[in-house]
Amino acid sequence: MKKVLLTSVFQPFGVENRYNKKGDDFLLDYLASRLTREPGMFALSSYVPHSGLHLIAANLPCESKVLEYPTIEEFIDEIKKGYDYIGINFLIKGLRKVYHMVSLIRKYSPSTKIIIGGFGTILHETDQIGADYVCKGEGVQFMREVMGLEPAGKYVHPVITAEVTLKVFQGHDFMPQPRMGLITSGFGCPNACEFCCTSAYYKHQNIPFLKSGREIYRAMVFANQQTKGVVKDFLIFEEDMMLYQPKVTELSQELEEHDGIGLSYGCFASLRAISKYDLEGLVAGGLSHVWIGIESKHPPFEKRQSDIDIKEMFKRLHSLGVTTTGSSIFGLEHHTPDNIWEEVEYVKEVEPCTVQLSNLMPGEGTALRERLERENRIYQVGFKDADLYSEIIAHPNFERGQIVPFILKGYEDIYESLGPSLFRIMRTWFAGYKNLHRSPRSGLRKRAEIYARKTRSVAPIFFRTQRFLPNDAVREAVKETLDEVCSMFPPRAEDLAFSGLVEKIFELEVERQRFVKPGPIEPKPIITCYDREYYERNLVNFL
Amino acid sequence: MSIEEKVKACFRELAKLKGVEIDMNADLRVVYGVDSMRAVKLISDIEVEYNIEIPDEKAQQIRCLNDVVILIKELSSAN
Repeated sequence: MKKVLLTSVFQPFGVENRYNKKGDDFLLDYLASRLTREPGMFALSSYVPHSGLHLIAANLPCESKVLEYPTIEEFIDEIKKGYDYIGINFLIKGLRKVYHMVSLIRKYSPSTKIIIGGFGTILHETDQIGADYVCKGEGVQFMREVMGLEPAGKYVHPVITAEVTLKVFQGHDFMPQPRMGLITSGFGCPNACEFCCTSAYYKHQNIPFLKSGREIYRAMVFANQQTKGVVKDFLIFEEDMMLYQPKVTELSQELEEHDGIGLSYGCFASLRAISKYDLEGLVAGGLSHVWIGIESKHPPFEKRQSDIDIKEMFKRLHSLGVTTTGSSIFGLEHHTPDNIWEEVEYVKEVEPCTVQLSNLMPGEGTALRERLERENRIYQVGFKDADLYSEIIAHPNFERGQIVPFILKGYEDIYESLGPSLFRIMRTWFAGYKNLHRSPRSGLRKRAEIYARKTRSVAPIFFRTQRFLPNDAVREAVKETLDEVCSMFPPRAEDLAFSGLVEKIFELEVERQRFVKPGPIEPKPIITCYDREYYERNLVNFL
Repeated sequence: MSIEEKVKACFRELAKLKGVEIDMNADLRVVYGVDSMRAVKLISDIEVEYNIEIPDEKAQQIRCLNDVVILIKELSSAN
């Protein structure tokens, strides 16, 4: 029987060397480094698994193992076990590590076939790495084909989850570490925004993985059952999911009509696509979070065009209890030192629950990259500099290195003006509860109950930690919301006990920061095994 | 196999130069068209083979395969 190893690139990430630049370990924490990048204690943390590797492993009828963030020693031990195939997933940033890993495989297991995949393969240089196969696109079919199997069989969706918690709770295993399920609905995007790597990687096409809303629903139920009811909230990977109306409508119907558990999902959507929906219907059908690209106050992208103003859209979503992420791009052509700060002010007006501010990144293969290369405006940098916080474009109105400070200052300013993301999330749930708990629509009343539960679970985090908030204005806003929450949901004994524990952890963190020099935080290596029957056994759940 | 022979074999495989005589003193870039990424591959293979780490600044000074052999000897004896 064939044996397959699928792996990410190796750690460490936080050591500055030929493979990493300073702070790369931080970038792996998708919440703390991006969406809740806040200077205070309330930042959230989540390390997102390599979904693609799990999807492939679960859909091969053989023994397969997924290795995430191994140390180099663990990787060598593993390859010595003699695999028939080893697949390495990487981003452009990790290219240099892939070279090393391929050399190691050739030395310790010369007969192993090597496959490389992931967004890093958009580089032309991948031909020189020495792999046997380069997967530039959807990986399950590709691997099946490589292994001589029928590529176009059915798919199962494995259970993939990520912890979401406060960063300061890490290392305190007794504190709540809720888990979120991750579902892959499809790949690629037809919007073809000039800067978008995902869209370019899949040649501006959408490639469905789960074909219908029913399949997504079944994947959610499966994950909930397999985790004994722990996982109820999901993030669905699909660029601009709201473009696929039949899929979304079917998912909404399944969740509103059949779900007795209270499952909900977050997704990515453009303003233009989500504007075409009845938002109440989406909420009754389980929509709980949406990431919308704000992009800019004066966005040069078609997907931002809509009859509905973006501020109005965020307001309506919040009133229905839907939490939001708004993302903004710095370093667009029209930006100047005089107007770039308007972007921060604009984000504050839109008031998303979580925010991504990033630098315009001309990813390989994108139209933006091609245009800038033609204009000779790309700085030559190492592959390890390929991230959202590197400046690699020669901008007409900025010197190199002038843009990122605006981004970092922007994050701080948003925190000081709007308060912590966690507060904005709690306030949104509470608003949703207030607006929906008397709704005539039972699906919306059910959502209101979920919002109430979530509000009550988060509110105690703020009971005794208000002195850690950035200023009096934010403290006043938090207090006002808490007063209202407590008048509606008087704190229970366990809430008060929990709030005391949170206060102690915050105090401990202040002390820790005084005495311990901050060092790199490496993710824990994770090994997941899929046996050869996994595919057959679980196929029934998806048919 | 001597270090010279191993380096030659490694490069032959990498540059897909079956049956061609390799000149150990030839400029890798000019004569064999080795670009920066192919050089990274060569360095990586050599490092793994000899369990050494070639610092980037030294790697950048490599002009021919004999430079690689000298580096391997230097770093191996330092280890």
